[in-house]
Amino acid sequence: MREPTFLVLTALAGGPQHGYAVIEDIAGMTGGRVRLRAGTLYAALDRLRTEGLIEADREEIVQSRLRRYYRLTATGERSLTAETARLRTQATIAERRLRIRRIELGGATS
Amino acid sequence: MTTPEKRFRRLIALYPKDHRAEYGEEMLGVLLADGRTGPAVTADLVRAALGARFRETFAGFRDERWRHAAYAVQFFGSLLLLAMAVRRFAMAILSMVRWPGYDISPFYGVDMVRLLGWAVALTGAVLGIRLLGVTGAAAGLAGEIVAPFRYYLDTPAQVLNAYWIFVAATVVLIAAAVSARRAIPRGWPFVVAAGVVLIAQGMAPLNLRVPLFGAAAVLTLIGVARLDPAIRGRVIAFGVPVLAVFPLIRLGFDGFVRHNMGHPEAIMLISPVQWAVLVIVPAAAFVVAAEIDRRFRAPMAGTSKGA
Repeated sequence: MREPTFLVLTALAGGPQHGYAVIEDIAGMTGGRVRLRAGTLYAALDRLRTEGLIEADREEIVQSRLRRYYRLTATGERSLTAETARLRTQATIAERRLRIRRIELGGATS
Repeated sequence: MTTPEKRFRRLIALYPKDHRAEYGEEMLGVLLADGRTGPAVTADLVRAALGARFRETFAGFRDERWRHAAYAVQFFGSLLLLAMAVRRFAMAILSMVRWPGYDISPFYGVDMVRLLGWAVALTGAVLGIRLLGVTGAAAGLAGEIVAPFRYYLDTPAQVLNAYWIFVAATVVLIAAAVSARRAIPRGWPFVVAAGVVLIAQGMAPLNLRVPLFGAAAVLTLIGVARLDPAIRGRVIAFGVPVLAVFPLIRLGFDGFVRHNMGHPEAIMLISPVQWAVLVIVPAAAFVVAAEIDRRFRAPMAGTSKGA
């Protein structure tokens, strides 16, 4: 799963949100490192809807413009859970190896 | 309407119609709320619009009827290419009978490969064995490519003259790889008759060759016309890359052929750019033909004939 997809699913795991709120939420989650642009966001939203990972929650008109809220589906929740577990496993391995490396380097220099 | 809004609307217009209808206004609201402008936003929208168009074009090929059309193309194409290979052999044997001193050794080897290749490809199509169809078509294509390339350094025009067969063989190989077998396509007796006429055409007196070639073309067209309407347009789209080769060679390579005919001491070979054109034009012709077929069928989708 690519990072924008993971971040969009993570944003919607907190509850239904409209497009601009997803951009703001992701920017907040990543400390401003990732601020999705509209083209990338809607490419991800369209693909996730096609794959059944998210769906439209409701629509409203704000200042004469359509605002559609999206929510995570049960399939989306399973997919995000699996990806989170995969990332956690990878991070744990990386963390363990870095710890061993620090110990070995510490031993070599002493 | 503000200037950024006008600009964003122009960029959103690059998306496919369905995507615009679904997300256009929503995206505009997000773009205006976000406030970012500049080349990075433009590049992001252009890239995403092209991606959406690419996905829309290729999503249509997931339709099962493309696979059924591919089967008709595999069947008819293998049959006609086998007829062409038999025709070459028949012409060589006839020459050997008429002129016993005639050297037919070039017909051994690679020519045998393409003859057997297309026979195996047709057998695979008839029996519905994909591996057989693909292996035969791959051998047939290899034979069709190698045969004229033996003379490429002396007469590059031979490769150009045979290029339509390369494209036809490639189309049949692709069709064999993706086809889903159904009943033998309707109209097959006309295509078999076209194959027989093609073989006879190779041995006919010179004054009959053009009319006989025309008769084979008409019989093939009748065979295609008798196909199930649900796949007919798609079968034609498969054939368009082959048809596109003729004007391409006539118009695009006329100067090249004339130069080589007039300067045998300084033969020009086909350049990388020309090769790229030879590959891109038939591929683009297929995409355009498939899109025209899709648009032609779209208004009928709501009618009983659109199925």
